[in-house]
Amino acid sequence: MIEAGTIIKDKYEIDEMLGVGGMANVYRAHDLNTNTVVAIKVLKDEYRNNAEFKLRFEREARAGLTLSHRNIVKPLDYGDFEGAKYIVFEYIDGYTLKDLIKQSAPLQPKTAINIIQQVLFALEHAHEKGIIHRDIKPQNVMITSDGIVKLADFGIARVSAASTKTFGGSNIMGSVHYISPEQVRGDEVTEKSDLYSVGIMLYEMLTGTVPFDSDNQISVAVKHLNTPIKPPMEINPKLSTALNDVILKATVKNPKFRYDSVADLRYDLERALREPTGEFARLNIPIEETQYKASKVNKGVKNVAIILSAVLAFCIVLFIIVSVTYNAKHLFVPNLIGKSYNEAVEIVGDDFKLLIVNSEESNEYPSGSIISQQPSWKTRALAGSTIEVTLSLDSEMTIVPDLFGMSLLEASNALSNAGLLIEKVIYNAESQIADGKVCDQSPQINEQVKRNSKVTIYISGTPEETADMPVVMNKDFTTAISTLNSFGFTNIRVRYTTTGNGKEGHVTYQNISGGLNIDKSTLIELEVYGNRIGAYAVDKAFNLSIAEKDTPVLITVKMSEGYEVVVFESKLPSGTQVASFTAYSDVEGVFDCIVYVNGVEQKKEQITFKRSQ
Amino acid sequence: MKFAYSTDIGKRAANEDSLYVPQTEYAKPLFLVADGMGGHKAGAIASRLAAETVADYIQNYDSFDLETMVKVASAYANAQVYKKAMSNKALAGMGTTLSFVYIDGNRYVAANVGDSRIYHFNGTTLTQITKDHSYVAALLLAGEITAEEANSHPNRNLITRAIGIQPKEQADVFENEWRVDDILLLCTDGLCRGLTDDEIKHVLKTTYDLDAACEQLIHMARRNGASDNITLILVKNEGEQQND
Repeated sequence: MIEAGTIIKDKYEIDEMLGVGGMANVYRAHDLNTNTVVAIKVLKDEYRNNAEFKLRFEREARAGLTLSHRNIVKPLDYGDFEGAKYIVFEYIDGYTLKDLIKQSAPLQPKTAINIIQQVLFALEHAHEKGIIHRDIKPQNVMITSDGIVKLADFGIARVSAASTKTFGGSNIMGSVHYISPEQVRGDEVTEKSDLYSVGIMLYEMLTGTVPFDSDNQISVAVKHLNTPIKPPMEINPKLSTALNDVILKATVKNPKFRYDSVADLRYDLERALREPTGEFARLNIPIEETQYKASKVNKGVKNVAIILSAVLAFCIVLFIIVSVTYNAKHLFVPNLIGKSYNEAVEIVGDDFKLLIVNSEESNEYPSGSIISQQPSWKTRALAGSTIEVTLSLDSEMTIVPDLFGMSLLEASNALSNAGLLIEKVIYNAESQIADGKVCDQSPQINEQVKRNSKVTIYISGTPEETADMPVVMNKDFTTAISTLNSFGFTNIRVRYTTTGNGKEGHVTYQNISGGLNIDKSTLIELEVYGNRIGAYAVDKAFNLSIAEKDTPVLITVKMSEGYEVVVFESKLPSGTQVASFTAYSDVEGVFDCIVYVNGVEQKKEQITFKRSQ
Repeated sequence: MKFAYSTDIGKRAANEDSLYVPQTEYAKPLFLVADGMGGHKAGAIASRLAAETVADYIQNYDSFDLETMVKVASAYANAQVYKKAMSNKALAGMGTTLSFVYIDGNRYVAANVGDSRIYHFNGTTLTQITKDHSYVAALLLAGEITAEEANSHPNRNLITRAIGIQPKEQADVFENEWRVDDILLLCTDGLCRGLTDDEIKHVLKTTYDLDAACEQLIHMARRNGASDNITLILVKNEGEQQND
């Protein structure tokens, strides 16, 4: 439970708790900068300690950022608050479809279809981007006071397929009343799975009840697999035969016989309104064939082949082989264990995609080879789906992480964790994704590179006047400066210190905390441990007329990488004073030396570093 | 009776399993495995607490009503783990499976919550005594998936009943007789998901030394690709009378 008034990420202030969902608590908050109202979903305490859960949650949150449609509740941001993951959404003032159903179902067909059409527009957009919702239910369909329908919570249901043991109530499995048979069985989820759930919602909107119910969650799930659906017309006789047929076609158990796409379902819904007695959506296949039992289908094919006589058998077997392979989109997952990543890419070819989710040092396998895979060898998966692999990696190499959708600060941290540096940041104003987020990177994700290699980041939008201050504490000096520069900070002042403990050449202090969003022209002050004695030196003295006693005088040298090093700092008495010092450098050459009296630049002269003795 | 046990961390960061076997000849004949869940060692805390609670309760129990003893022990363990989970944010949501068996001469009483298992091997047949409380077990029971599909289902780690999650919970209880040379196998799912029934039977049939059998079972499961924590106990009926 988060108290009202709490501030998250220095950006959002919590106003009040709106409600409790299955996996998350929902709060209303406002953006401190723009004052816009937002909704924040924060993962419940039970899930804060599950590392795998959190990683998947974040991946899904980032995928959601690519969605931009008037019928989709827009995710705006995501992050981590004291260990709990959260996602920030646009705030929707309205009610849910579940509320509407409770109050008014059965709804008028025109009303129901209008709402569903908007849901389908949202799904079409998401499916185009390769995102499947997976958890469509009336609780996730919001309706604004203007009557605009907005679909929420994309992809979150995928988070729950974890390899760590979890207790599952209705929260984890998504709502079982709307879940597709293939999701129940654990088979590959496709766009058609979303269509099934939409079909069930339509059923409920037009009859007032869900087709499958029980007091036991699992019984409900199993019913999707084995209990024939009662035609909605039998519950609400006022329904047109066309609409009845459309719902039945959307909720066929075997995905093969369902509508192929959102567009097809949308078209038939429109048509059902115009031709209520039309038979265009009628399924003319016997019920047994529409059942969804993958293993039984195969057995049936085998039996047919055996029974037929020798002469016919040859032709028929050929025919069956052709039609089975023509229709089969499930392929055997190859064994990738022990193969190098590049070999694995060759092996899967166009059949599957590979994604590196983890890397560990391994004694058994040489560096760069795969030590585990999900799904495993000998199982079957849908062509084109992703196989997640863990790579063994020796300590010199590292894997380029996926930065898509991250803010510059998050990308900097992710690269830092992977042992990589930022080469430069390039802004892309044409990018479609939310401003300020990474839209591209070079090198690409999953490439194996040496530690300390540099990565170029492309960010959507135009560079702002402000940026998030990175954390450079404990970093070596060169990395700290280049990170600050890449964030847009070039007004940097460095002091060398030998007091206390520290690692030679590393930053021990930064004047602005990491994470704060500040103007790029802000003066950043760093302290670096060390004594800056270098191979080159120059002795210099300035004559200064000081007006008052105890006037602070600061003298710096502007080094070529865009920062100034403090070489003299003191409070001088009034009168004509001499500020003299010896400055050191690791490089030879001519640099600007700047004198600040009372914080104001008063003199600038060039000095030359020469070999010292 | 003779027994052997082993626990192995596999490729996980921590071993969240716990087990209990009688430590001395006067200790009651209780054998227990528990598979904890919850992040950052919370799982280990939950399984350890459940194991100790059951062991303490049974050790001090004074009546012959074994069925009640076992039910109350599990309910008490649930209360303890639930209380502890509620008391500390870092332990929120923690829980554990619980499978244990109490030997009483030629019969035994077994209890189970979760998806750890107890098997009974009588020399020819291997029977799973306990019923898994997991999503895939329910699908399997309904005939909708095969045992193989259950082992690779994306929700295979979803359990439907556990110790420490709800305010009140109590184990399923099973009673059976066992004869001389029969073997009971208690294991967390890391083992039984990595082996077929035939493979388990083969080891139990051909390896007479229980310690060696334990190691052999773990080794085979690992070779089959199992990477989870594995904990198992083997108990063999030697024909002695139980001392009370």
